[in-house]
Amino acid sequence: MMRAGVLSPEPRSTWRAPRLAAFAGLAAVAAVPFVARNDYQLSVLITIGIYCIALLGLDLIKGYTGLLSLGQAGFMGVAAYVSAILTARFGWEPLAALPVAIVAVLAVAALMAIPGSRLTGFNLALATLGFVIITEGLFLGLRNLTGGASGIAGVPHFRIGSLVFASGRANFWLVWGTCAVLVWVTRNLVSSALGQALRTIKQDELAAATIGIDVFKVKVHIFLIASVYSALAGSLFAHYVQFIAPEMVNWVVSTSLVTMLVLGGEGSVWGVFLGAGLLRLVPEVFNPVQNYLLIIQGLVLVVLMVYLPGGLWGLVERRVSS
Amino acid sequence: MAIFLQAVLGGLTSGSIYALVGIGVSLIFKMSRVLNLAQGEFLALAALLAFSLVTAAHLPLALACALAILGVTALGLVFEQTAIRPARSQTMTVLLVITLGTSILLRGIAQVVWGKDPMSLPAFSGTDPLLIWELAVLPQALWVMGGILVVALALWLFFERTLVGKAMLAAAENRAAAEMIGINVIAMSRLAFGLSAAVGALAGVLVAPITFVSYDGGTMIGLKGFVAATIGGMGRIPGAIAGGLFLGVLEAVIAGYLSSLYKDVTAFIVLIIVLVLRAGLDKRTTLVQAG
Repeated sequence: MMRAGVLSPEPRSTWRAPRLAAFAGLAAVAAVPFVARNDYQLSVLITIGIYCIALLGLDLIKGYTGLLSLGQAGFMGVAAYVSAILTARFGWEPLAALPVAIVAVLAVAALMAIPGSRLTGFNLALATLGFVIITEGLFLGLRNLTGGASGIAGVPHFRIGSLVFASGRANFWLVWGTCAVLVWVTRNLVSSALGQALRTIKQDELAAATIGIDVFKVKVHIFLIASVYSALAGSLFAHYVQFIAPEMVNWVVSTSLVTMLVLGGEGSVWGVFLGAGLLRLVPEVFNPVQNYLLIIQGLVLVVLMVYLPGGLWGLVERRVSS
Repeated sequence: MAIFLQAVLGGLTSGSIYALVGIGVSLIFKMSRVLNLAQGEFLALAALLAFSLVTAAHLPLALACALAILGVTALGLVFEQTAIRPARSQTMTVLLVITLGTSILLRGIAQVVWGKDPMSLPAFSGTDPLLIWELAVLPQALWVMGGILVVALALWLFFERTLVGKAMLAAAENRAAAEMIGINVIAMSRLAFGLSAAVGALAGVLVAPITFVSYDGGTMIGLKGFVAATIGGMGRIPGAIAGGLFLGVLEAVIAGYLSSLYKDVTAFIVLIIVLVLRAGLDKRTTLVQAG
C-alpha cells in the first residue's frame, strides 16, 4: 500500500507516550483491585473496562475512519449469545467457546460489512442501526436457542484450565488485561499502513482512492477488526455477569457507546477511557443523576457535537499544546 | 381471506402512521439534507402533551390535540434553531449524531415529566368497531387513514399551488440559485422543520387512542418512519407515503402468519436490502453518466 502520510496528520502524540509511563500506568491499573473498597466498586470498573474494549473498536471505525456505526452492540450480542449458549447449554469450556464466538461474529460482520462498505455516510449508519435491531429481534424471537426475553442464565465464569475468574479482582484483571493488550494492538494498528489509510479515507475518500488505497477493502477490514473487539467485549460481558438478555446488547447500548466516544473524544485511547469512565461513573457517584441519565446523554451528544467535536480529551490536548 | 384482509387493514392503519412520520423525515431531508432521528419523539411528545391537557387541564379533546400539535411544532423550530443551525457546516454524520442526541434528550425529558407509564387518549369517535363487509374497523383507524389523506392532499396543494411551497421546492432543488432569486433559504429550512414536527405531532395524537404511548414509545415508530422514507426514496414525499403503507402491510402479514416478534426484524431487513440495492443502482447511474 502507498504511504499516505502526505495527506494525513501525524499519529496523535498520545501514542508516543514514553514506554516507562505506559508501564507505570499498567501497574497503577493493576493495583486498583487492592484499593477498591468493595466488590460493587470493582463491578463498576469492570463494566467500564468491557465498554472500553468495545469502544476501542468503535473508535477505529468512527474516530480513525470517520464512519458511523450504530451496530457495535449487535456484534457484542452475537458473541455474548454464542458464548452463553455453548457454555451454559452445551457445557463447553469458555476458552473453547470464545474462538467460536469470534468466528461467528466475523461471519456476521462480513455479511454486514461487504454490502455495507459500499454505503456512504448516513446510509451506513442507518444500515448498522438496522443490523442491531435485527439481532435484538432474533435474540427475542429464537426462544429455543436464546431463551427469548428472559435471556440465558447460568453462564459460567471465564476459566483457563483450573484458573477460574470468579472473584471481582480476577475479573478486573481479566477485563483490564484484555483492554491493555487491545490498546497495544490498536496502537500498532493505527501507526501501520492500514492506520494511515484509515486517516486518509476519513479526510477525503476520493483522494484516498486516487492515491491507490482500495477504499472498499480497507473499510471491510476495519469493520471486521472492530467486530472482534466487540466480540471480546460481548463474551467477557456474558461470562462476567453470568447472564445475557436482549436488552443488554440492544441499540440503546450502541448509542451509549457512541455517546461515550463523542464525550471522551475520538481518535485517542485516553478519550475512550475518559468517555466510558465519565458516563458510567458520574451516575454512580452522584446518585440523583440516575433519573436524568437520558437527558444528560442527549445533551452530551448535542452540545459536544455542535460546540466541541473533539470531545473532552480534545479540549485537554488543546490546552496542553497551547 | 377475511383474516388476510383484516390483517391488511390493520397494516394500512399502522402504515399510515409510518407514512406520516416518513413524510416528516423526507421533508427535512429534502430541505436541509439532515436525517432527523428525533422524528418519532415529536409523535410521542404530542401524544403525551395532549394526554396531560385532557386529564390534568380538562381541556376538550380537540383543543388539547390542536395545542399539542402547536407545542410540538414550536419545539421543532427551537430544535432547528439551537441544534441544527449552529452545526450547518458539519458533515452529515455529525448532524446525524446531533439528531440522535436530540432524540435521547427528548426521551429523557418526557421520562422526567411523564414517568414511565404508558398513556392513552380517548378515541375521537368512540370505540365501537364499524362493520364494513366482513371487516371490523375501529373508527380511530379511519381517523388515522383520513389523516394521511388530508396531509397528502394539503402538502400537494402547498407545493403545487402556493408561492411559499414553490419557493421551498426551488430551494431544495438548487440552494444557490434559489438564494440568487431572493428566496430565503434559511427560512425555508426552518419551515421544513416546523412542518415536519407538525406532521409528526399529528401522527401522535391520531395514534394515541389506538396504542398506548410512553416516553420512549415514539422511538421505534420514528425508526419505522425512516424505513418508510428510505423505501420510497429519501426526500420524495409520495414515496414516503407508499413506503409507509407497504411497510405497515408487510409487518401485519408477517405478524399474522409468522410471529409479531419478527415485525421489527422484517422492517429492518427491508431497510438494509433497499439501502444496498439503491447504492448499487446509484453507482451504476454515476458510471453511466460518467461514461
